[in-house]
Amino acid sequence: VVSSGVIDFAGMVDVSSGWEFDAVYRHEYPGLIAVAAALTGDRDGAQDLVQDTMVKAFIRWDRVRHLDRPGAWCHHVLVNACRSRLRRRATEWRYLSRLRRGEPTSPEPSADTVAFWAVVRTLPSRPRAVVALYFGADLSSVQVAEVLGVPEGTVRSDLAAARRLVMNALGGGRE
Amino acid sequence: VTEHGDTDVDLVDDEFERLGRMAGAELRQPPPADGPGTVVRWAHRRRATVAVVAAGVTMAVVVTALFVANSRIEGEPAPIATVPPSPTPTAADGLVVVAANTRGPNSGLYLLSPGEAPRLIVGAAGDQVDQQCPQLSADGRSLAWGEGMPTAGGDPQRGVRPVVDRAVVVAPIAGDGTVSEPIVRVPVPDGSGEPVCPQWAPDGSAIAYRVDGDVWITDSVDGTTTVVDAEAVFESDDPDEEYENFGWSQAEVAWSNDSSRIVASERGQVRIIDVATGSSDVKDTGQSAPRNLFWLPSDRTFIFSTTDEPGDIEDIVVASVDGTDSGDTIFRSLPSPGTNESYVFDSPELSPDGNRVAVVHSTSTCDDEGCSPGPQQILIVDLTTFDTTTIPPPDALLVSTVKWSPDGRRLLLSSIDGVFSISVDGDGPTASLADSADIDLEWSHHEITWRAPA
Repeated sequence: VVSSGVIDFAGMVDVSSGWEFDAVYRHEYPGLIAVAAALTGDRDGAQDLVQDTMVKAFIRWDRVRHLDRPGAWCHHVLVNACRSRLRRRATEWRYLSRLRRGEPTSPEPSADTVAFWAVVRTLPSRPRAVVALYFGADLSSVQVAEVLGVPEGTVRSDLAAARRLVMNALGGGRE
Repeated sequence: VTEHGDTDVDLVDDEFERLGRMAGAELRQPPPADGPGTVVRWAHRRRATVAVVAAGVTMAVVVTALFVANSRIEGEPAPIATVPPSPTPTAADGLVVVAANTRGPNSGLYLLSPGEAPRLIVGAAGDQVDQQCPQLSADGRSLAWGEGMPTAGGDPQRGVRPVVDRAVVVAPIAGDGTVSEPIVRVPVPDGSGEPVCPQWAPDGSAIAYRVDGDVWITDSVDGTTTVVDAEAVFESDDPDEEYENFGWSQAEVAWSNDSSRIVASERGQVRIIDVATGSSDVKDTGQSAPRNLFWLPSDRTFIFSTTDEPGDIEDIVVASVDGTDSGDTIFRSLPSPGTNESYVFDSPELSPDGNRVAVVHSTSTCDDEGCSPGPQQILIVDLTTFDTTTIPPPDALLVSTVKWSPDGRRLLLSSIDGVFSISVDGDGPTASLADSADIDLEWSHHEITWRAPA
């Protein structure tokens, strides 16, 4: 039970108030893993990033559990972690991407999906995160705005811009 | 109304929406069955580190000061070990090269020489200590490094973070790489968990390093340490986020050539410290994160790099310190690569004569099969004209770090494929100092050091 900033590792769930960690973990995991994979292009590394994000959430569970949407907090931390990972591990990423090229992991996403995210990763930082959260985590534009701390209009504007750029890059005829 | 609950007609019933939903769905995965349990175990380990941080900076500094006062650790158990000297004198292009190996049980500092296997000079198998950021003094007679113990459950890749029991160490090093006593070891509070990364004063009198923002200056002989308040380049209310962002900025300090001043990076400014008095002034750089600082020979001007949001280097900036030069900060951009590929600049390094900067220019390309590294080049930028010379890395290496030789005639390249040296003019043979089969570098900008032998 988490209380007063002290973690009792004998249990994970405080039934007295707030969200249950286990429930939040299982609900948010699919979206988190998709956002991490979309932003980094590294499906294996995405698992590490999500794991680290959830560890942070658990350590702060006394605070996070009382948020209206603990998942938004997790997505916010994850997006920052993805940015950091891209910077701090640039060399590692280049190395691993070279190694993994030709080493398919299973199950592989479809060619259309791979192409879609490859183009998304060429977008500027904020629109990239917007698209990842909107489609990867299946969040609404209001929720994406909450995660990123920007007005909803900005999210919609980014989505519209991303739509033009992505579809143009993938071939205008598909639009 | 979309599945997201949105009603913006611009976003419904089009190919982008269809593709996006499919692309998102295909990346989502169900949670692992024991996911929450794994998180709890990792949190338990992380909590142990956080608890140490919570002990308080004040107490930590006091305790550290007590350690510092006795930091010449004769007879004290120390998590380092030296190995017997090699019977064969070693040399690398006539110079001493020390590299940090931070992965696996053989982590430690290694001496590199052409035609010889890397030789462990600091560290011992199973000592559970990672030694990182080796820095040879200008005269090549002393070696400084940072060290720490990786926490269980830390990053499984190289450069394990966070580390605890952080310290900086200074020790004499002979021409054959033998590290000996007396050893000065200064413990550092665990804080962010990033290894500390010492930088030598040109006159060899002291080392400077960042401890979660603050600048620590340690006498290289008696370990006396002065702490100068400074702000970290990256700061956050969330200590974990700060840890994530700190990256390798523990090394963001640079000594003036006369060893009288230090410039340290802060967010949007640099702090210039008078070493004799410990007093400091700040200079607004107008940039979010000035990094990779170097003083030019005049000691009136320094250069730094600026970064974009993810931390990739955008510009090399020449800045005047006290107005005795042009008085204005001069912003000069690195040359555009002239390609639509994604690219980054990495590891800028000032030449010994202060006239040129070597920097790694890396590209990456993404296609239907994913993203992969593109061509890489080493750029030599003339700081007067900003003319650029391009040197292709030998044998398509993926270079992570460039260091100049003390005579400015060769470049030392650390790479995922090993460590190599090449001529600055691109001619002549490539000397291989270590193969990736021999050593796993830490992949920081400070994993190798190269100085004239004592």
